[in-house]
Amino acid sequence: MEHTQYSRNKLVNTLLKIGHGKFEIYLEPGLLANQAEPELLGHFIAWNDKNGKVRDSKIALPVIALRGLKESDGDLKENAIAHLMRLSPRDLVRAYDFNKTLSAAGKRISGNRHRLFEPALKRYLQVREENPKWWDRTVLQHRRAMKHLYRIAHYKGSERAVAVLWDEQYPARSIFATVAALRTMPANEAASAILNKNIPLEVAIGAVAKAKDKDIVLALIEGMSGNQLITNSQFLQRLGVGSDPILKASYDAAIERAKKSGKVETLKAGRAAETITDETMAAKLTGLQQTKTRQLGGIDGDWAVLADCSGSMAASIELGRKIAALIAEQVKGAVYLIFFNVAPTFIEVTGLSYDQILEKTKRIHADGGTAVGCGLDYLRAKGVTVQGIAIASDGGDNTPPRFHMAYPAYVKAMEIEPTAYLFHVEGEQDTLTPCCQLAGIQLERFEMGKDVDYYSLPNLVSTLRTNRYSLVDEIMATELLTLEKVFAQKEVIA
Amino acid sequence: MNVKTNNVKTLSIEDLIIGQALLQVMQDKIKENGHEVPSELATDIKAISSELDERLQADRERQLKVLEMRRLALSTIDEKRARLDTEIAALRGKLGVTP
Repeated sequence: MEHTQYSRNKLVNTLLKIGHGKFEIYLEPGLLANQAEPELLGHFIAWNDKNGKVRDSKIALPVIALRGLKESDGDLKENAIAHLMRLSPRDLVRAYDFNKTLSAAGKRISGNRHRLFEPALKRYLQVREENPKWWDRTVLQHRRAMKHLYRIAHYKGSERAVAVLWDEQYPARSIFATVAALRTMPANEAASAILNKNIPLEVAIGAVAKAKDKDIVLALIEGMSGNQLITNSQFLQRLGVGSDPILKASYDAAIERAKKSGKVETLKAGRAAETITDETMAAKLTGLQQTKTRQLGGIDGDWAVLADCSGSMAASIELGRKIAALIAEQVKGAVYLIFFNVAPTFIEVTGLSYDQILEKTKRIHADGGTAVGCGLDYLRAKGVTVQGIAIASDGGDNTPPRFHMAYPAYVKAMEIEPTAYLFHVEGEQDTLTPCCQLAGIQLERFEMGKDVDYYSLPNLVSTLRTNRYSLVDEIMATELLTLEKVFAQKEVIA
Repeated sequence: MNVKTNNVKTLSIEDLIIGQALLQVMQDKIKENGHEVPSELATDIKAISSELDERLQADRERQLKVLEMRRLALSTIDEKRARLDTEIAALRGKLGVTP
């Protein structure tokens, strides 16, 4: 049991740490997971769909999960296909292309692709046709992808679909007719049409004659999703949103909407804030990120973040700050950030935001040797109890007190066995991991590589647990998805 | 612009309302106990109140604009137009503007 859980933890950790990039980066760990634990991968896909923050993983993993399944794994096949059917048309085309690349490379789907994929795709198109408003909005945003999907599904489509998609014959009073007329409308009428028909930003911008008109900008902001607002904040700043009271009020209202939206990508707002020069707009975006991080939830207990500030470890200093901020914004318990080289620098960061932590730690710099255990020894000496430890380091633990020696002493003194996670960055030879293995200390490892992908970091941090098996249990308890459930959903998915 | 004013600018309308209420309760308690209200507290209350007034005004103007835009597209649907006309009149009243 112990061994199985440990392997499962390792598999889950590997899948979680993958950030942005080409779909190919998912291939090796995905195939490995599917070969060793296909059921775990199936449940992971379902869990990731609800909790994951990296969109590429939602496209690549279901495609990979279709490989190597047995005839008896019908539920896992359906789960993978069902998750693909939750994608937007554009992402579904990307998934289809990735699938083709894999098949061409000899990694074929087990079972008949036509039998599995095409009926589901046909239904994907039909449920949208049955709801004309949904279909219209989908086509408005994803025309090219939708045409491609009709071809792939070998499905001609309804009479209305054929007229709009292939013949460009738009029904009177339809959203397509409105969009076509936007260019010739006076600005206030165009703004009114954008607002009332809820015309998406990317479509409206290209269709109107005066995108910089105040009424049009107002209508655009009013219709923006949280992610659109974040992505376009710099553009809005250029249009003078920060200096016009009404547009600023609209921007503020959109920020409040974004705080309540479940679709906003957690770290995106903070990254966008860094590019904004308007201080108030930047502060609002930072506030939005803090709200979204708090909403991630899932972490409990008191935590120590041990961040390596030994020579040339600037990357782990920054990583330590980010991890501490993400934990501090999610837990109710205490969070201690301890920078270490051969001596600890202890800072309590409970409830602090990243900016506040940055201010408190701005004089920390990389220098000296590495004694990963010194932070833990400090906590033991002070009698501070933590249930979880997150280490940001290259693991080049070369000076006493070393972690694998300090940990048992801490466990004995405090009568508690904290979970331990290593966010590994490139640097010296990692001696921490093998020493912990030899000492029987379970150290969960996330490979951060040379360039930390800050988009995947909230994903990883939100999975930290004070009970080492609870995440795998949580994943296995997430129900597999069925096509019936996906197609019963009448609201707009994408 | 001082630091406090900057902070006030980043708060939401909801937070400003809560902040203003809390500070006013604090001020009332101090007065009740017969003490003099610290000048910092009075300045904070003034900064929050002025920011809140400004922001509520701008938000009402935004709402009015949005309602007018919505009405423009509903010129043929009498019932909805009448409802929006009522809302528009109420907001114009609050803002003291005439059509």
